[in-house]
Amino acid sequence: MTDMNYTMIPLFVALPLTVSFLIMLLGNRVRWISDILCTLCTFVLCLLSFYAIGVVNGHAPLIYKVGGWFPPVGICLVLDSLSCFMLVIVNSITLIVTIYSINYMERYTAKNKFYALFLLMLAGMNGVIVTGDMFNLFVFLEIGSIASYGLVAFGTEEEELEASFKYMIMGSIAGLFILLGIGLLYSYTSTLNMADMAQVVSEKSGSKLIGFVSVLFLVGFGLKGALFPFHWWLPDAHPSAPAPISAMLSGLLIKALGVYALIRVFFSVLDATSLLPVLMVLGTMSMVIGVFLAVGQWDFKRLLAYHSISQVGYIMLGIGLGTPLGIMGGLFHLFNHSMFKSLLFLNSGAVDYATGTRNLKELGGLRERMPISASTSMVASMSIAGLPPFNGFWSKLIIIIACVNAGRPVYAAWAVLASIMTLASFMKVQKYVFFGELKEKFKAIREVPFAMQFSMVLLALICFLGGLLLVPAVSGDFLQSAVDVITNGKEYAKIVFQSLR
Amino acid sequence: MRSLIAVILLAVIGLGLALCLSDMPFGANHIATAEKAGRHYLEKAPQETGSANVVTAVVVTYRGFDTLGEVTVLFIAAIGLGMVLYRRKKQEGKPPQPASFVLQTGCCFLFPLILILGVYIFLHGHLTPGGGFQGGVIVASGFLLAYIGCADMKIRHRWFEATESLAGSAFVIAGMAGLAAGGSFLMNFMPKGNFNTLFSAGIIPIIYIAIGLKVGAELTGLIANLLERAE
Repeated sequence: MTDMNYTMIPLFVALPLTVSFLIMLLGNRVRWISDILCTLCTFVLCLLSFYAIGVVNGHAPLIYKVGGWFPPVGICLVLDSLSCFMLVIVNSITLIVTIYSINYMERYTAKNKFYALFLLMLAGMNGVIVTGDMFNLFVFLEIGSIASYGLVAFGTEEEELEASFKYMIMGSIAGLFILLGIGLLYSYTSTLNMADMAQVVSEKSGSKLIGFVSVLFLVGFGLKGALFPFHWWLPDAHPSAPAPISAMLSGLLIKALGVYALIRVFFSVLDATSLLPVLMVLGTMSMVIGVFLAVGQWDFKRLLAYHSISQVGYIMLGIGLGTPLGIMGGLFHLFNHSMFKSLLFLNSGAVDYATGTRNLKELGGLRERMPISASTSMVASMSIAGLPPFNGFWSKLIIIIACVNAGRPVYAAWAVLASIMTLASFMKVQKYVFFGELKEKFKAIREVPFAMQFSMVLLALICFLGGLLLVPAVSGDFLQSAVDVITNGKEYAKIVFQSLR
Repeated sequence: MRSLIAVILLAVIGLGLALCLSDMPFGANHIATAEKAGRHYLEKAPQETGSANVVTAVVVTYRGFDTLGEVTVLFIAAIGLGMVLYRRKKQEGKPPQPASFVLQTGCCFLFPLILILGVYIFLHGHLTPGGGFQGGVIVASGFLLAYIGCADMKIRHRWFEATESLAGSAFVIAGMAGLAAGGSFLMNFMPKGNFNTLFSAGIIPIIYIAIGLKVGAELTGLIANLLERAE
């Protein structure tokens, strides 16, 4: 292992930070510079995240000591297979969304501010994923959240400001719960390092504090991840943002800040496996309630936002089962949902871009005029509804099999029901938007520009081929080693301290 | 009904807090005495970082990565507010009344002094209480006074925005320089100098100058965005 491999870790945070400062400095002076800088930055990060797979998987995790201080004293960054898995998802979708934004954001003023906030949100997500320190996790969680409040309000219309305000209040409450939890844990363990904390917690067992702190984290990260019953801010916040941001929020932010952080804290630090049944119940409820609320929606993006609640429910159900197969299904669904939900939001953006409306009742027959958007959205709809051979089918299948194997057929039945409802709701989308008769006023619309088509086709390809991730011959142990990190959560402290040097 | 639910929830949280805090001895300073980071900071910080102010040593070196994050949070807040208020600025309101003569004169007299105090505080962050954030806030409070005193005051936004971005980049570049010097990100690679003098503690003063300028410029920009009237 060379030093280069270690140096890469802080770059995931430092690079987007620097570039966003540069964009604010140069963006107004040189034309195109913000597009070029942002695309380059996300491209480099995407390459780095793929490179990281090769370095980390099958080896010990890389520990980076920021400032050269040894962990309990300083902050350390931990790059293990689970972080790697998340980094690949986050950075590759960010790259695709950036390409899409080049054309889409032409409609808005202040593109520089958009790019700056966009990159800061990315820095926040990457920071949450690579950090090995509890308080550092909170700092990056807030960076990601605060940048997203700004991006939700980007249109600065009344509706968007209201959505952003509501989102900000809920986000801050979530932040307070998490901060209170971290504060209590700090006073209990006298350390902020996750590995050190895990060690102290396992040594001093049998305290009421750990249970209480776990509940605080469940509420805090549940709010960030829009888990039932903390879900109701999401259908306002996510559709209000510009389409590329909706894709980032639903596809990535709720997963990096909510699901990933919850998994990391519950499995690696607190070893709170006794709370897993709660996670399972809440997951199932958000799965079912989200989809029931989604079916009745007539706003394209709002409908998608309700589906995000439902799909996060699937992920939580899988993780909450606690069996290796269930966790694998959960993580795989996390990957798949990022891909198809980003694609669906980009599709809705394309429809909005071409026609200027998101109301399903006003649309129809766009298939003739927008063949690329129509066919990619068809792929995404079939993925989210869980039709073979698309990626959503495989992950839902694994979750359902895992439920049955764990002796919980009732949960499996709920998962099947939610899947059928999802199919119904996306048949509605396809019927009202892309099939049927083309309205007179949309006779002259054109397909969206090339960059937008390109990113949608790329995501559709991933949705089509995503199932191959299950075949070890194709993906190596990309998914499996991430699952191993979670199932070996108890060993986290030991593994980290062994890999320190 | 709603308030009943709120009261019940509060009671549950309060009970939980009371139960889990009952395990801990009241008032005991166990963080500083535990064989963990706290004691290390108190005992080793002056030798390891060269900073006479232990708080600064923790904020800038041991947990410098958090500080980078906190500076970024302020940066995001400034961009976000500028973006949200972009339209508001064009609206007309009733013109503000000019300040009294006493306030105007006092403001001209105090403004440079407040700026000097702010700069002093962030320059001496590694020696005396205070630091980049505090110094920056004092600088911004000088501008706030100027805004209150002189109703038609305008700042050059481009300069302040450039200072913000440059100072932010300087922080990250100071961190990267640690990498280039063969260490790690945000490493204190510069000579530590004579303890308790102005030129000591390696990169701490440099980072605190960057933070001070950045925080000062950002908060001034925020104040300007909120107080300035449309053309």
